[in-house]
Amino acid sequence: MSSNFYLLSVIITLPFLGMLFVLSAKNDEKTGGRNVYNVSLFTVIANIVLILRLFSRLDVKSSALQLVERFTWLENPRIDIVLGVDVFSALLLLSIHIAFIIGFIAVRHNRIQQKSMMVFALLFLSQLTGFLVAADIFSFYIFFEAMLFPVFMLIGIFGDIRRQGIMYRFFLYNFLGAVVLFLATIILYNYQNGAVEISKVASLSFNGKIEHFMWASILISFLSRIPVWPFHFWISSVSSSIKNPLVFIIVNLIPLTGIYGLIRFLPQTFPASAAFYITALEIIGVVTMLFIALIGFINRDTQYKFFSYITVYYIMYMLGLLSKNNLIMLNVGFSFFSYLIIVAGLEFVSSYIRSQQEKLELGTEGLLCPVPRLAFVYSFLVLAAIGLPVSSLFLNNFLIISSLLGNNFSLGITVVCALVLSSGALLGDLYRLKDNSAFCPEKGCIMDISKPYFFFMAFIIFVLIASFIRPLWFLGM
Amino acid sequence: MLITFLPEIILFCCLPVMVLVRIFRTSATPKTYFTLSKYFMLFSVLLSIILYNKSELPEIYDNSRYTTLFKSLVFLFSFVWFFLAYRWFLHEERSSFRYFMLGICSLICLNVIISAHNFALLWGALAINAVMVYFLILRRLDEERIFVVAHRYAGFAAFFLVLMAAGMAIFYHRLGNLNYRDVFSFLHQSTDIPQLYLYASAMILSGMLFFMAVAPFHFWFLDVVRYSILPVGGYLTLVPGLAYFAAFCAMIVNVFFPIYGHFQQPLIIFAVASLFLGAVGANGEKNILRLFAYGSVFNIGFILISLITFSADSLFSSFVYLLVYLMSMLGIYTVFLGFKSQGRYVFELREFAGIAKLKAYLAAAFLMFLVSLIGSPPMLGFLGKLSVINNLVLEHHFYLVAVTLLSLILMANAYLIVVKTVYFDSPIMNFDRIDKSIYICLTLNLILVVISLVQPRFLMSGFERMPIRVF
Amino acid sequence: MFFVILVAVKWLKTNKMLVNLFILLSLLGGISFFLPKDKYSRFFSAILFAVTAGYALQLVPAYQVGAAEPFVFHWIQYKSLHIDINLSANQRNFTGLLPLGIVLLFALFGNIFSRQETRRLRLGGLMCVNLAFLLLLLCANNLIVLMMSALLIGITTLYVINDYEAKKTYIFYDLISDMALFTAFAVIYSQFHQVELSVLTRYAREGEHIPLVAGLLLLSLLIKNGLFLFHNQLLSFRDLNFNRLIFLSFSSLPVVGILIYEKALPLLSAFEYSRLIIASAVVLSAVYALGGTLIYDDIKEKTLCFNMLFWAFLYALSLSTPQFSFSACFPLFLLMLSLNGLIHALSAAASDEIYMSRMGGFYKKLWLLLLFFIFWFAVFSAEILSWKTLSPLVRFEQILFVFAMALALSHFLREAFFGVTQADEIVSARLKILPYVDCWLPAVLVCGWYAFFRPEIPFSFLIMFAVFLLLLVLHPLRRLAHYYADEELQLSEFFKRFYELVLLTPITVLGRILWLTIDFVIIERTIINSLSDVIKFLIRISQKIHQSSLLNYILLALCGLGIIFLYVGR
Repeated sequence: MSSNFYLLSVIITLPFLGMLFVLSAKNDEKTGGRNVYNVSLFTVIANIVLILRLFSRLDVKSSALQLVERFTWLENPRIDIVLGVDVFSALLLLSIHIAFIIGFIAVRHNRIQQKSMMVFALLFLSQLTGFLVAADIFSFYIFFEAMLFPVFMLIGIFGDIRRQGIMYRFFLYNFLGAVVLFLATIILYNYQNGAVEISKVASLSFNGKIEHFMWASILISFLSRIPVWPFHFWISSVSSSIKNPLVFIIVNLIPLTGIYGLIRFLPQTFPASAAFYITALEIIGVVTMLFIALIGFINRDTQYKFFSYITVYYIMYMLGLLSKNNLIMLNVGFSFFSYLIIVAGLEFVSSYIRSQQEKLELGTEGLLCPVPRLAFVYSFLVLAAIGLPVSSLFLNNFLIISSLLGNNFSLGITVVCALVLSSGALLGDLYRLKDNSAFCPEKGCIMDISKPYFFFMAFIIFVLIASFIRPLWFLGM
Repeated sequence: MLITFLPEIILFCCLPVMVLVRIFRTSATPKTYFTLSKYFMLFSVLLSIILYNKSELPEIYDNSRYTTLFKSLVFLFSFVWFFLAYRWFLHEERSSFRYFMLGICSLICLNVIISAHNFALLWGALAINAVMVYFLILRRLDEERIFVVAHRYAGFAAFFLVLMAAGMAIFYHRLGNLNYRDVFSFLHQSTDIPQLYLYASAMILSGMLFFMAVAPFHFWFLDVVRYSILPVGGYLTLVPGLAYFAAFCAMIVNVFFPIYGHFQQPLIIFAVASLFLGAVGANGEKNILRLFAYGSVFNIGFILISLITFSADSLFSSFVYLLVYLMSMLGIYTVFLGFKSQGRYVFELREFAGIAKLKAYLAAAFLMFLVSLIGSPPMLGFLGKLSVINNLVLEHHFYLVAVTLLSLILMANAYLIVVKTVYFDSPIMNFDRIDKSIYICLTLNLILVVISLVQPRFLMSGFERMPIRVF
Repeated sequence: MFFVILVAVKWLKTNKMLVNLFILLSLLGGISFFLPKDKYSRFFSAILFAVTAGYALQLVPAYQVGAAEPFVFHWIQYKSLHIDINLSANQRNFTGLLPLGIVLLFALFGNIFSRQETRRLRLGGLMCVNLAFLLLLLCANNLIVLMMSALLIGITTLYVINDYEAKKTYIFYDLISDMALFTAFAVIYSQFHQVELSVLTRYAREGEHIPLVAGLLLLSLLIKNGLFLFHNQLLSFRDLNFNRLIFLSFSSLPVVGILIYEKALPLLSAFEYSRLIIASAVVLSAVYALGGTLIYDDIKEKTLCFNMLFWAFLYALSLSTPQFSFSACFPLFLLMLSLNGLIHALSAAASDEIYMSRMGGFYKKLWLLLLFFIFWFAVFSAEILSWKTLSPLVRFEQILFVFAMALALSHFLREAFFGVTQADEIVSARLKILPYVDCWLPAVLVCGWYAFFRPEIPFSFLIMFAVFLLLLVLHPLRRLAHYYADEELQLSEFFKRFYELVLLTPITVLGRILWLTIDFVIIERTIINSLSDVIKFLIRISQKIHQSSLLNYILLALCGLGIIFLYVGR
């Protein structure tokens, strides 16, 4: 299906244009950085409107790529940029944009380096959007690597005192992964004498060594993004070092790219040469999952607990995807929709608490006692996060886990254990904040979230509940 | 005869005019010399383009699309750099007469180097250019070590020129002339080439490798860029490389192709050495000029590794890489001209700390060029990287791909140290106001980068196949 | 609000009774959430009660005639997954709903007058929503809806609990319980890709992991019912006020547990150790609960132990009855609810005193309440002992249960009404003959209802009643009153410490070891530091090579020439 109106290109370009506007904004100290902020927020909202328009043009029953756009980029070597979207990527697009809005709201009062933050955030959004609609291997790779740079800058600007080491870890792992994917891309390109659409990669046939090499490269490159051992180290370091909620959300979207890559590249039935890697991946994945969940359970740092939760889920999705079941694929997409919003929401609330805590020099125990609005939002998000039936995570988790249990029983059981631990960690943290037996600040000492913030979060909660009641309500399904 | 050398002759005419201006014009400023150079260069390049295929001595001096492309690029980069250099001299309030004189002389030599199809002519141009470079290096007056550096350069250049001369003499002894065509015929027709001629070829090629600053013959380049004044360092980084590359490719294709198999292995070793010595050296370097000099060595290695097979594709990909790398380096050197504190240009890495907070635009441009040098998409450098790696994969040099990418990671690490310093460290000094011309140059460069990125065809189309005309 | 509800009810008048009820309850819950929390809360609570009661009355005729209305809502319709929500009105569903509705009405009624309640309206709303979810659970005909409603009830329970410690204890138990249920159902689904409840029977025949699934189900159910080893969450309700405590005991997890248990019986019976596990849990729970009723000072804890005894009895009953049905036990269920109400009345009469050790000698002023208690026991024991169709084993169990209740209640009544008074003077002065109608009236009505409709009185009842009176007079366990002063025993933190030692400590230690060894030692110290060292080493070599020494340069140049000549010379 070809499109006369380049909707996908516009969706990619809009955040980039927003970034240029932000760049051109003078340091608006007089308005407290409001220009920069408003432009950024408006850009993302405008893109959401376009994404919703995209949904209206999408045939939700079809699993094929739609609204395909094709451009000739290079003539020697001949490289065509192909963009396309399906329900899965459209869902991700929407949830990522909502997560960004939550992130923006969370940094509303952040005055430190706001312009830089917005510039790199919008740049990242543009590239991530491009990545999600990329339909050929070259554009896929280009966006895959390009998005590292804004993240690197954001970590550098907003990381804590340990950021230097963390930046290099981030770079080392991710750049290595990108380079390996680059190699795989070039090999694919040359063996096919032209740019290959991602959907066709799985059906290509190679000779033995090349096939091994290519699959190993593809898996390593995506694994470098997913926090499986030993690649988890960069993201664990970054997560516990970053205190800025928007940056935290952005950093934790990086593993999504790895998962998405696996979804797009892995064939329906694995070639024999990939079987070894898949088994190894499953073992490493599940061990990492349990390991991170355990550490998250004992760690007192909220950011690490979030990281642990995020990791467990990402790996669960990864393991689910390896089962190559269409229903599971669709469920991972739905699940991502809620999951990304929940993670962003949790980080929003957590950052608010942290800022209050730092401002008033308080401990964490009992901080939620005098702030009922915040407590409600936080509790709801934690309940949604652990998979209770208040968001689409509930049903999606059930199907994914049953699929895992069906494929490999012991693996499935280990995943459940990890889920219990990570859920326990989140609940433990929530109840530490609600502990009124310890110091409980008086009312007025710690500020509750303002009513507009609360209503915004209530809207997010409504979206989550809607995703539970009708997973694809906005598609009319 | 006249038509063949007309662009060079026009350029040569610039020299007496400059001398006359120097003698008769009392208030000759850098702008005067730049304006003179500019018009002569413009005229010369126009003639080069118009007379692109007019050569009355094709056996010793070739004018073709291939040479015209490189000459035009040499002129283009020289023009931009001379403009920036004139601003530098203006701010430093120093005389630019010798610089422009030597620069124009060097340009003439480079033109000859590009077009030379005779070893004697090539040698002569190389030798004169080496002398010009020697004097250019000596333009720095406030650094005692400059004499050591210049003398060493002169010494090594002389040694390699002698080596080249010896090699050429061997061929001359056998053939009676030094035309490329004759040497090629000799090498092509001989079924079993005597060892002596292989050694002679090695001598000539090693001289070229020295001037191209390929490791392990790169040492001079690091010191020269580090210790000479900025206009000289920039010129040596940006301009001669194009001419040497063109001459090297022409020499291999037109002369040594029949025996190229003998040189492939050493060239691979040199390329890999350049990659790793450049990347590792840059990681440990604290002086920004020297750091980017290491970067240049690395890039030369990248180009050389792409050239290894000397096919049409490899030549094309290395050319693309060279072009992209030079555009980025031009941007980097433009940025250097803006980093001035209390009237002094800063080149120590620690002095770059936190520049982003003080000079945001400059830092942003610097960042973009650095990312481009890393070869990361969506910056232009990616095109170069893509071109080279694609070519290597196409020719099944997988181990070279692995080595190249590994060194690229190391190199990227070095550039990231710079990014970290510029963006994330706290500033330790204030910076002077930046000349508007630097902003203009940077903006133009960035626009070019963006256009090339969005539609590389604008950059590549048409002349992208021109370097292959060398075959 | 009233207007909104009326409009909603009218709009929803689709003749689908249970659907309407579900929507009405959800709406009431939603609206009460948005109403101001302090202003006119009693008034709004009364309206809430009135609307619910009004609709319940509308349902009574339908229940009596056994109306049947099919209703199926197609919730999820994917290619390979269909989930329907069945809210058909039929006799079975009506029967199941009746006692739960009564519990709700009792609780809503109590909520209007409750003096300790600070969030009256919010609680009322939660209670309504809770019943809506219970309705889903009752009518559930597939695994997903069953699980979903159980989990949703878990959430409403969490919000009904308004004490930090209780919430904290509850949430972790509930998490384990829910995850166990979730995993069990996921295992079943993974094998058959079916969600209908009939798959449980099929799994009992063809299942691959019956022991695991049955074990997980049992774990989940035992936790939900708060039986021995998992009783801490149930006992943690002692920190709630009576109205919440009673509501949670009879309308939340224990009920969920027993309802799921009933539906999962075919599968559980396929596991050979199910009976053993349940029997052990029953015996231990009964012993613990009996001990609790006798030893605990806190009458809320005593109440919870009475309830625990009841749930244990139901499980015991299920072991001996081939076709166990929760609906058959509804009279008992309601009578137990009444006992809770009476104990609440006692506490309320004593100025909300909750410690047994501060009561005693209330018979003078609360003699009517004492009579109600005795009346309750009479009705309760008559109800149990009149079951004739039971097997000898059940006969033994019921006698044992009645005896245990007699022992516990007699001890309780003796302490409260005839013990040496240790009550505060003000408390004693405030005692009234019939205090707080909201506490005792519903209880007495239930007792009266069952007493009035009881056709015959079995002989065994007379014996048991005599035993009860004897125990009340003799008070054989009077020495146990000493334990009220035993702080260690009263705190009952043994199991909390036990779980910390057995579960949390190993996890913490393991996590710390893994963190230190894998993250720090292997990755940070070994991999990253080694890489960093290698790069530093290479940099040192490079710096040595590039030292500005002439000799180095000569060597480098010679090296280059050597390489090129070496290769050319080969």
